[in-house]
Amino acid sequence: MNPKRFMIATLLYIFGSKSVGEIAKALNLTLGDVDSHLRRMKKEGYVELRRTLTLKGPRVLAKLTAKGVEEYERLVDDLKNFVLKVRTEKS
Amino acid sequence: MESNIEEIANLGEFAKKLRVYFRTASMGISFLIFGGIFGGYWLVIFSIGSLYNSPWIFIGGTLGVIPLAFLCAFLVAKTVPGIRRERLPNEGARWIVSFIIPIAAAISISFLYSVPLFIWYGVLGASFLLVHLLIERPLISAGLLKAKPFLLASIPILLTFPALFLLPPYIDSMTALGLCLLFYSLSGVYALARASKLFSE
Repeated sequence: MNPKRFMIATLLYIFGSKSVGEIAKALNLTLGDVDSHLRRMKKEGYVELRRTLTLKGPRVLAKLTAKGVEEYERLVDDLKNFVLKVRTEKS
Repeated sequence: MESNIEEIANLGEFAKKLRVYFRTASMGISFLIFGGIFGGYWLVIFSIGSLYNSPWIFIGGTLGVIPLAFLCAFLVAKTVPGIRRERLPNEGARWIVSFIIPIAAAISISFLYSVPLFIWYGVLGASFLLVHLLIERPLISAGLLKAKPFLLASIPILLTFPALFLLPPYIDSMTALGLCLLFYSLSGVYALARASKLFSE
């Protein structure tokens, strides 16, 4: 699990679709960084990218796919279960 | 390592709550924005319409509802950051059906009987009930929404609708508008209260 990709997924999971610029600003990442992570996420089917025209000019909007949402929730549940398991084993 | 994973899991859990919070809060804010703007708009139209007693003012007022609805939708999108998200299957059609069926029923009835001006109040109540059944309930079942503002607004509107027939003309319309604003505001506040409760559950 890449922490930057997890943060991008978290942002899209909470707020719905966001432009590449908005993601970069919100997470303090460079545009290139966001772009490359989004492309990777798109390749895995977690994100869909859509070109759109806004009042501020053309933008690329990123949005989690149904698979992305499902995987995000599964990952969070798995992590919670893992922490719980480790704690139980320790005690 | 374990504490890092726990932090990530906590962040994910918080994200889940925020997601539902924004959807529920957007519903509450929508009620306040739509209720306030439409209430004020119709008060002005009624006042001018009564002053000049011209049907054209009401026809113009009815047409003005379309750009006003877009303005309200724009304001909701601007005030709630989590509004742009995935939709229910055929959500657009569900919205249209919810409003078209009661409007078509009212128009059909108006051909057979004389209907009072405040018929819109009953139409709105029936539309809200359909929105609850076709949109609100599926969203709640999917765990994406925590409040039922459409149901909460529709029940008192439908219950008070028959009482308006007992009132004299003009007073009935003004009462309908006042009650509508009241139920809109209460439903909006209720949705916001339910949304804020998410973080204390």
